[in-house]
Amino acid sequence: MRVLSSSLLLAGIMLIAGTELLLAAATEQDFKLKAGARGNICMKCHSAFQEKMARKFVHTPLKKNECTGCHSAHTSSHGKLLAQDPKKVCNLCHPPMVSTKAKSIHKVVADGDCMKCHDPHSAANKNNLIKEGKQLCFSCHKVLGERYSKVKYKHSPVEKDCLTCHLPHFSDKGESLLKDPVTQLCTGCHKTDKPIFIKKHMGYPVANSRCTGCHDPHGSDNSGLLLKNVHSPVSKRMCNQCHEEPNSATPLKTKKEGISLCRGCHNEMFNKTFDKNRVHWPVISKNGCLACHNPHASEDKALMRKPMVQLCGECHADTLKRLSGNISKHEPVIEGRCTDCHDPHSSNFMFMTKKSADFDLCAGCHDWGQHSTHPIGEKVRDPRNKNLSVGCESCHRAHGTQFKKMLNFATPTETCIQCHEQLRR
Amino acid sequence: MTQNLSRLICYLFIACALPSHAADTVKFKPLGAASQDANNLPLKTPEGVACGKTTVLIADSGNGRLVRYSMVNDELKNGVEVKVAQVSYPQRLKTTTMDRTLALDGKTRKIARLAADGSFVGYLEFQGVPAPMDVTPRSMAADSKDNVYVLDIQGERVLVVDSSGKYLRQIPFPKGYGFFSDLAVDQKGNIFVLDSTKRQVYRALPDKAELQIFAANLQDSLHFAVSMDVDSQGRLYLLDQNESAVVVLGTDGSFQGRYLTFGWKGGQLNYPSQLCIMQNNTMVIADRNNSRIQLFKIQ
Repeated sequence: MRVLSSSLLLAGIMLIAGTELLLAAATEQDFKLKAGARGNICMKCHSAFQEKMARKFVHTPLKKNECTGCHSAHTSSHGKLLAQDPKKVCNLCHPPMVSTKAKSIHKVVADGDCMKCHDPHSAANKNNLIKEGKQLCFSCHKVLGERYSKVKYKHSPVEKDCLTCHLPHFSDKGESLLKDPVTQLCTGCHKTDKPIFIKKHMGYPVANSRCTGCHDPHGSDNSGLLLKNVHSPVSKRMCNQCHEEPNSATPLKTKKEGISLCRGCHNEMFNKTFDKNRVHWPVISKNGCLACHNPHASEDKALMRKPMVQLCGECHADTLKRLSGNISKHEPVIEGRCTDCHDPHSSNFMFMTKKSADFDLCAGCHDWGQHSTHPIGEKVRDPRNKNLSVGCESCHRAHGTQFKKMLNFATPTETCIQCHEQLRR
Repeated sequence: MTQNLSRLICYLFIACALPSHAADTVKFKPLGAASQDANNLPLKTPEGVACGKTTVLIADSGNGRLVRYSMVNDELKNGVEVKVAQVSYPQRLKTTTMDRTLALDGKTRKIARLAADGSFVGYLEFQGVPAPMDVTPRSMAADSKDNVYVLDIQGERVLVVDSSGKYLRQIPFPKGYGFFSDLAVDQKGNIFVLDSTKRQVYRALPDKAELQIFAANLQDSLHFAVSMDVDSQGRLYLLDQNESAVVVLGTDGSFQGRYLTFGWKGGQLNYPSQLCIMQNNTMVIADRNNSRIQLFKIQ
């Protein structure tokens, strides 16, 4: 029995090996081409490739005249007669570029869009990159590129190459494809024990602090590469206004906890906030002001941690999701100006609006009397619910809807008959 | 006789074949609404509601008052205005035993203890609470022993105190939570906490000091729930404010159904803010932006 099993196993191995040999032979005799015809026969028609072949870096299969390494000569289910799905064709030779331990992955890599960066045939740049250095990165990261080109102070490694700090495919050490966690990466060059470093940081032991809380790693109009908006005590180098003294036992500890610390300077704002009936819950949660604000510096106004719509969307993701399906959207919503209508700290009105959402809020921008002759106002009762008056939101929805003109219903007629049921046909 | 027997066997077979949660399936029958008090003063954006044995207390937030109704034949009658100076903007109410009520005031962010007639007894003053000393209640609940469970968003914990405010124990918020809006305690002493932004429910067993996920993956059925109550059978009712609906979870946390919809007409909701369930299985909803209270019989 054991002999039989061994024989079967041996036969299996031989069968696999034989198949491999046959396949290898088939590769050599692909399409029964005449000697020396492989690849060259493609060039007879695709003559433009001569120019590509002349470039400095040529993709290995092309160099070996193995067009069929990536393409099928006769038919294919994929564009450009590719032998495989464009997002997978590179994996015929190259192993997957992402580690299972990756903390961050370049989106184009995750999407299998290798050709966004690499030319599959040849290029003037190493690794067949379609552009050189930061020019390649900035061709997609346009906003960053434009900002970088205009800033007064540029971080020198960026000028050299983005890959000084970032990895191109994935990183298993840091966010944003960083080669190492932020602080470790920065302190690799900026030695924290140097007197100039200590002096610039007012003697505070910031060696383990997150540098990007204050500095823009790419460039800035502020000296020291400080972010665009800097908290006043930071710009005045008065760290001890909030933190304990640098020579104390706990120099980075704040002098007070939570919102009590901020209240020391922003007392008037606090009084206004807590004088209202409805406080935005994050304000009085554990993180307090830091739920939305960065205490040191920020690229966004009011020292917000993120652009407003992203920040609000961290909690109100359902609202953003609903908006994504709307065909009509309120202009401030489109532009992410949530605080045009909402007070982020507190309010006496529903939805934390700055004024009553019935009329006053909308009337701040819209002259509703001009666009409608429909009775509207506190004294006009809603026939659907006598406890409600007819206001803008009786017909419209403030953020937008899936219908025109931010209407609650598909057509004006359908809107009208909600109340005027006798006109229903 | 044989026919009846075979019919019985058939019924038994069907009953066994049904999914285990089928018994949890409910229906809501609209019973009507209350939109004004006994003096015909309209309610204005009521945010809170507390279910007693035979009474319902309303936080008529927009009018800065409470209104106490009697439940008679599944209708809210005789809405008596109760003005409490210490609770100028009532936002959330919860019932304790003996028809007493806990009221969270939006302005002071304190929990007031109210007598059965709605009169002010005193604030819930916390004693012997471990650091942080400052307690910021987002919501609260009471158990059958009148112990009070406070959702402390400042201390990131569920604080358990006795009816006088004396510290009993605390349960820390779990790692990675989003934002907690409400909590409920069932008859067995299980504590449920509602995560509005992560759209899930946590549970702490009666003898445990740890909140664990009880119901997750509700992204498709729940959008931004702000209030929660548990019925006598242990089913959870989550009030989805931003989508104006009620989602029911079974005793095992399984999704049982999504009920009601947005609108202005009877039976529809417009950004509701709190619900409670009476012992007779009547669900009372503070239909905030419709400025009314709606009743539904759970069947």
